[in-house]
Amino acid sequence: MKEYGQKVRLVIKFYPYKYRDFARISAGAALAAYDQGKFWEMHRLLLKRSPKLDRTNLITYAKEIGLDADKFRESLDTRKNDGIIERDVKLALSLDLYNTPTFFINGRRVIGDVPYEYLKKIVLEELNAAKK
Amino acid sequence: MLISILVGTSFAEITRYSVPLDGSPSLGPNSASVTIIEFIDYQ
Repeated sequence: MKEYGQKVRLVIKFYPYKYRDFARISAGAALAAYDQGKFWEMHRLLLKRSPKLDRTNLITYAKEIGLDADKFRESLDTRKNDGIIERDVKLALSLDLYNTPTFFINGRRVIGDVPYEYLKKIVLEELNAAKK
Repeated sequence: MLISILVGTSFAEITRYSVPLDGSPSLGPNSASVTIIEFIDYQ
């Protein structure tokens, strides 16, 4: 991603699997961090520490990246951003998605945990097509 | 001539889905020529 600087944009949609205990609260944690301007810091940490994602862990991570822990906790406990998560889930279902991760690269769908090289290949194809 | 027709056909076969961005968290400029949308589950 970083390799392509100003030419590539990454957008995150949340699709927590409903039968996993901490999937939704983790998405809530990412959005709580987003509200405090530190989405990507939390995003990276969640990927790195998964599956250790219970409420206590999440609060520890919030402190680790310097978030206001009270605000963060309140956001989790009131499920402040559930509407956004719900919107993304509905979108995923409307697209018949049943796997994560699923990528859309300029609308081209790539399902599942594919090798990085495969994603890169499609990104390069799209970059080349844009040059024409 | 034949080659150009084949190339044209292979591009036409790519299905592109329209996915609204809805102000989701993003990294990189709006003017980027490639947008990757990732549906994620952290667990």
